[in-house]
Amino acid sequence: MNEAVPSYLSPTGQEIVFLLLGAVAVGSALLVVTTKQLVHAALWLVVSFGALAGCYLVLTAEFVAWVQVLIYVGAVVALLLFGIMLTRAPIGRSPGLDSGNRVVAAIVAVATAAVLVTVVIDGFRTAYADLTPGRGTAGELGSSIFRNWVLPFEALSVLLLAALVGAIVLSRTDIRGR
Amino acid sequence: MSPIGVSDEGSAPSVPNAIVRRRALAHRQAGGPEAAGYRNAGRGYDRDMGGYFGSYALVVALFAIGVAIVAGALSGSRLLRPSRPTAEKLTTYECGVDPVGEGWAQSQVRYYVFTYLYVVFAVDAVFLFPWATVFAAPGFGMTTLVEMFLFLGFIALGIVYAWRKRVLSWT
Amino acid sequence: MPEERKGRHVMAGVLAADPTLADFGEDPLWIIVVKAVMLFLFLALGVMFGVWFERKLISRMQDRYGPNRAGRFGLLQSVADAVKMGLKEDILPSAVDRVLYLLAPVIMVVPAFLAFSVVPFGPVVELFGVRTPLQLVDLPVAVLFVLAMGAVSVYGVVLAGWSSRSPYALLGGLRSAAQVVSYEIAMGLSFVAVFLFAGTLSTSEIVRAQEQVWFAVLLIPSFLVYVVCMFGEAARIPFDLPEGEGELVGGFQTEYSSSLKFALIMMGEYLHTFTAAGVAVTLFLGGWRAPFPVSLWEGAGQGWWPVLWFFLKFVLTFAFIVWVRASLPRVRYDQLMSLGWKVLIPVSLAWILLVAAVRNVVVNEGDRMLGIGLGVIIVIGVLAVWMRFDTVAQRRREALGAQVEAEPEEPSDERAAGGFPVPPLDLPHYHGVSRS
Repeated sequence: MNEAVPSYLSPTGQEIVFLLLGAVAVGSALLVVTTKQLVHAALWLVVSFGALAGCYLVLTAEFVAWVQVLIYVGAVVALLLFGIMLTRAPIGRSPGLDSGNRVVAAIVAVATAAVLVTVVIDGFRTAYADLTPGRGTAGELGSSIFRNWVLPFEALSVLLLAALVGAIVLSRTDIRGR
Repeated sequence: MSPIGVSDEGSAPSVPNAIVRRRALAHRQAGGPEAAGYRNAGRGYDRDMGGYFGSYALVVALFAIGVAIVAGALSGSRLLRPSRPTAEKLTTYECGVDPVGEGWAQSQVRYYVFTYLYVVFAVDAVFLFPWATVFAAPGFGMTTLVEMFLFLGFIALGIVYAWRKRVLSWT
Repeated sequence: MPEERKGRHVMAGVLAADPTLADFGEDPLWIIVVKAVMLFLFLALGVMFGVWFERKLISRMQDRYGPNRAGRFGLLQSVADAVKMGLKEDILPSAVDRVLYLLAPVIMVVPAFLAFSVVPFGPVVELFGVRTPLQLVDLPVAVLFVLAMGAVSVYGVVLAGWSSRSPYALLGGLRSAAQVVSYEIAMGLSFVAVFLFAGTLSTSEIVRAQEQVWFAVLLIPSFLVYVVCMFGEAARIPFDLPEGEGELVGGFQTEYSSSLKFALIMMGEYLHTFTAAGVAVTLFLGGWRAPFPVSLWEGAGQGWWPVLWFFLKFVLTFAFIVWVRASLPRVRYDQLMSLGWKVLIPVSLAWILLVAAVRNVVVNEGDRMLGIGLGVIIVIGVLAVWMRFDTVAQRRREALGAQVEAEPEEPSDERAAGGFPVPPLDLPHYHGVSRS
């Protein structure tokens, strides 16, 4: 998965596709923060998520890949779009989108990326996972979740419930706090 | 990393696979003997590399062909059709009357709430799918059923709350 | 390709015509190309004659002739329409966001026909001397793929509405997105019971699992929920709110004048309907399996016969959609949303739990008491919730009735023409007074 070993001088087709998709994901993510139109930013996010789904596909995690399309591309970005349309954001370019904290934001972003990359590289080093098709199907995932990962699964339901209640309370102005 | 790759429980049941190159150290994979029993329950999950990437290459090719056909039709008709734009033609139609003000309607918060409900329930459905596929396999059953009851119970609390707060009625 | 694997699958293919996932990805390239061309032809001809079929059928239901000028029985009407739309002047309103405006029809069409590529048309057949399953692609997560494509195609509608810069288009796009999103959940939940029985998400194996009994018979509530969602997802009458012309002009497609872009949008909607019908046939109506009396005949599952059964079921499903269009009025938007969220989703959730509890009793016989207990709890809980809401609704209805009773009778207005309310005809703006 993580190519950190110098001996990989002849990458396979899958690795090349994976790297290309990664480049697309990062490039469109950069466009998300640099574009001047809010709705275009959301659409570049779609491209980024789509490329990420492609990465999952190359890693033979097909269920996760299509869940990425269904949940992130389909639901989360739609939520963002509705959020944008909720505001009084202008249709065209918004010149005031650049914040004065650009430099700080860039530093924070680069630092976060550095930490993540360090952790991933340090954690896996030369580990090489064989790509075995059939490992990412719904059945395999299900047996993994309901055997080994039950507690996170149940915790997720509480998290979803909390988020749902929060969204409802925020959207209903007539529900008052004490 | 997918959760499958990280968890460790026994070694992976060997899938006959001559195409996969084995380099460096192979990662231990989840599953174990029970999962092997599930896999051998008469279903051909052990597709090989060519089948997997072949299928998705075909999907990508179909996507490319579809985009090409649509784009070709659009640009082809550009060559054939007349084009005599005038200022009146190019105004926004709306409902036939000349548009007034900006074509922009700030949307209501209820769209946002319904999309939010969609996110929650889409996540819910996505967990139901793997559950449904393994449910009948040996080694699951009662425990898995109760786990899903708990999960759906919490989600149902959410929809009951939304119902009680009359968020589900479109006003 | 290891030789022994190939040999095994050929053997399996000879023994049983029912394809499994393992039968895919073994075709030579030219067979794949042939199958892809067949799929394209099916969809292209399907859209053309589907339009003709719908118009003709609905005309007959409404006691008129329908298209009968272009070609025999008006068969070439769609061809004429397509040529006209391709040659018409294309108007690109100056206010639109050009890229997204042109991209939106493409996003509507392409995912729709991608989703159709996982629909099985038949079992393993002999195609130009090669034994191959009559299905272009099968994935272990095929049904999830169909749902994901549905989620992507929502963007086409939202972007068409947003990029048009027109309030009606925007409103239509938003409504459509909220509608499709609501019905997609109920649709996904209606599939869960199918997966519980089939144990897989692959379309070919779901058809395989329906050898004894179709899931439409076994899982009637799931099937009914799916049928309702099918109309919501494909935005057909009675759920075609996104283009409710009485209130939204043309909905999200208002600014798409009748050129090729408009034709693409129409084609996208047809393909969505086709996909919905294809999924209904595959997941619930036994796919390519012969219907009951015919299925007693041994040869019904042999050779190319299954393609006929699939096609018949597909056409009948489509005809049912048209029939509903001819019969039902459009529902109101609040009715649409409350049907989706207050009826379809809770019913699906309860039904899934009930099916799982029953299935648990059947599969692991050990803890039968607990399973039955859970099933009873679900049934009682659902009934209690339903009665609670029913009494609340009843009380509200009575309160409303009492309120109406209590209101004094409106004095009769002389403007009412024969009992029908008519708008006043002497408002100032009719005379241009307010517009100076």
